[in-house]
Amino acid sequence: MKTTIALAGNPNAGKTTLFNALTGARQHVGNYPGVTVEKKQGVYQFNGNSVQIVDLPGTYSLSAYSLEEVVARDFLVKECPAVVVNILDASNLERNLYLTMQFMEMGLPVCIALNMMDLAEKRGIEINVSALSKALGTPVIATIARNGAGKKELMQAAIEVANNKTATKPFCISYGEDIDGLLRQMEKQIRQAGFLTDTYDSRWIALKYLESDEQIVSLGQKANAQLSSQLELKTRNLSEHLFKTLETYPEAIIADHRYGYIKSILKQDVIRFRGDQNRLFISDKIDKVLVNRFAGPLIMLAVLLVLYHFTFSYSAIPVAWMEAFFVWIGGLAQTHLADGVLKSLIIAGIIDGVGGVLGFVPLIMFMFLGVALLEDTGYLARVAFMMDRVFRVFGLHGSSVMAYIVSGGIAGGCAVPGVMASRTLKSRKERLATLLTVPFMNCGAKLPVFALLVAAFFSEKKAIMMFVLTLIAWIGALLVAKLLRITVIRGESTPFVMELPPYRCPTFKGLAIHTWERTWQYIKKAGTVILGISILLWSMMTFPGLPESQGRHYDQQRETLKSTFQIDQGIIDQDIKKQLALIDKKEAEAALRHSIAGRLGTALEPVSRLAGFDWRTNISLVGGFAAKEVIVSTLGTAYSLGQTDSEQNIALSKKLAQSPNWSPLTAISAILFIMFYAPCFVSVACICRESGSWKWGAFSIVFNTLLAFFIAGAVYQIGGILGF
Amino acid sequence: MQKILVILIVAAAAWYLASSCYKRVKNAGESGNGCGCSEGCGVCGQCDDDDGPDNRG
Repeated sequence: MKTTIALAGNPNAGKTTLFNALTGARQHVGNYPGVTVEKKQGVYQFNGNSVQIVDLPGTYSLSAYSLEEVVARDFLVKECPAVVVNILDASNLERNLYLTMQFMEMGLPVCIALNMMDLAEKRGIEINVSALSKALGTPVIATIARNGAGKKELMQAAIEVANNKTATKPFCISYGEDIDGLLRQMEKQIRQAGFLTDTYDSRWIALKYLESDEQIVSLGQKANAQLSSQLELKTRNLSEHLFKTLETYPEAIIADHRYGYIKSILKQDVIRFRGDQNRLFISDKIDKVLVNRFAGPLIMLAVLLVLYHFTFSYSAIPVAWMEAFFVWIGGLAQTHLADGVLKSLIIAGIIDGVGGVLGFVPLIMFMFLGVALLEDTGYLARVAFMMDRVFRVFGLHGSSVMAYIVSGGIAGGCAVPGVMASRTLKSRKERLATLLTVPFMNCGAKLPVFALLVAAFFSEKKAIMMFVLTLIAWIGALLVAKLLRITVIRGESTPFVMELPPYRCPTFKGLAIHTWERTWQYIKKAGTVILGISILLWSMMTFPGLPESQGRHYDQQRETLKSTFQIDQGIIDQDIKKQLALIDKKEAEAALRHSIAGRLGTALEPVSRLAGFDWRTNISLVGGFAAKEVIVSTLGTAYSLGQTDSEQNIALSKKLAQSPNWSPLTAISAILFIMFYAPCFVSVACICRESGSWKWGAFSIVFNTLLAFFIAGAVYQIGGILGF
Repeated sequence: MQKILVILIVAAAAWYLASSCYKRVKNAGESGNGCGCSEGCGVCGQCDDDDGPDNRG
């Protein structure tokens, strides 16, 4: 049987980094708490044997307060791993040991990884590893997960603990006279009745009753309602007694005694501080400025502006190369392929469709590099911290900020993990408000659409435009959240506490991996799903084709034109050439209009014109429901099918800029519509699943589309009146 | 001949999309390691491949 080792510890202690170092996986590691919501599994090869490694979500305790804690606790209890490798942040030892105490109280076999020893040393913290091991009675190994130091020793120690077949006795901490006496009574009752003891230790169950643990009390009610009620009554009596005498509750006393016990361990020559213990660490010094109430938000906006400036400035040349490359490929196909539907599919469907999306790869890459830099240094966590103050005003929770950022709050994220990240919210109403508004963020799929329209109509102010669009997305999302919180999902806001991780210098390798992984996903999506959708939409924009009568009508026009001019041995006059091209263009447009997609776009035109969208744009916006990048590929195909051969060899941004149906005002209206309209279908499916009802998924489609159309229509109409 | 080839390409694209859609909707929220799940499906584009990192060992 394969040995299972669970990695557990506080958020941001380095579990995922260690997991990646052990398994060779490339799980996403963020320098902010809460990257892992669910457990992940991998395999580590040890002396020729496979060891199963499970990375549990980061938790501060094992109460059932949040989803992460439930996931971690359930795994430890139900799956019974051979050993729990408890990763401790050596620079925050006291707080991290709180969770260790709980593992030991549960009677779990524990092996400790004292991680981030380098950071602790820099902070002037000296830890006597062997003294700590002796005090806890369990192996303690110093590690630096970032460079893999101590990895082998840790696994060696963990396997030894796992192979030690003697059952680990639950650790007992004294919680003072009041609690200890009652604990003993309750423990006896629980043991005698065999109450949940097949899964949990009897003292631990009693402790959980005293902590009013919802999950255990609910399990107890199902197993033995009478005994459970008796235990609850005892807890209530104790609570009343403690409140009368000490003005406190059992949970607080239990936590105090655990910390007291930890302090007594640390005093046994385990930890020593060099220099002034109260001095400000570098991270704290930086935070004095970066999260300052007044300077912080201004710096945040400046960072955002610099990020966009960096992205657009440095990507401009490679993006132009990519555009030129696809134009060249299109030209080659135009020259060498025989006329017919296959040629049309390759040029209009594939090269102009997918090429339009792939053309933005350099821009996406630079954007991801910038975001990875902010994330790896720990600045994103500061953004979340600062935004918390704002979020509370709009009825959201501090944890919602990370969901927004993951969804593309800075740019380049995805609404699916954003919706998932809302799981960390305990209040259902705050969770609903969050998951319904995260799709408004500028995800990585919207990015090429915005980049295309900005390049076509605001090429001089790309960075400023992107900056403004980010602000609009946040303001829009927060206003909608407020609207939802005062109407359909009314309720109080809950408090939020967030740990700020220390600033870290990102490694080149880390930045390169993060940037490449995200860029590769973009390329892969363009080459698979977007390619498939482009082919399908091309067929919908090509078939059934013009009716024979209309086709004959255009043929007759050509014949008439040719017969009225004298053509000498194949040398066609330039004027006739132009007129013939015009007829070709009219025919292509008529064919496109007559196609399945064209008819749909035309049917929507009377309404969509209010926001400035023509029938071609309508086709792309409908296609965008599949994935937002499809808007670019569909526009590429639609404008390619409706053009003559000579017009095809230019980039899509230039085609849009030259089109009479597009103007800067139309572009702004389209950007706003795309920002706020229905999320892609995967996000909708995720919203349905996470909200537990298909109605919220339907709500997000209908409400978002109506809202988006209202905003786009208002901007277009008012802009028109003002003469833009 | 061209028409047959085009029909085959379109049919293949439709088949791929249908199966991909099914998988994406079925797995949405359940996988994609970047979103914190245990099996990668590529839905959110944050995990490395469709098989998930579990298979990398």
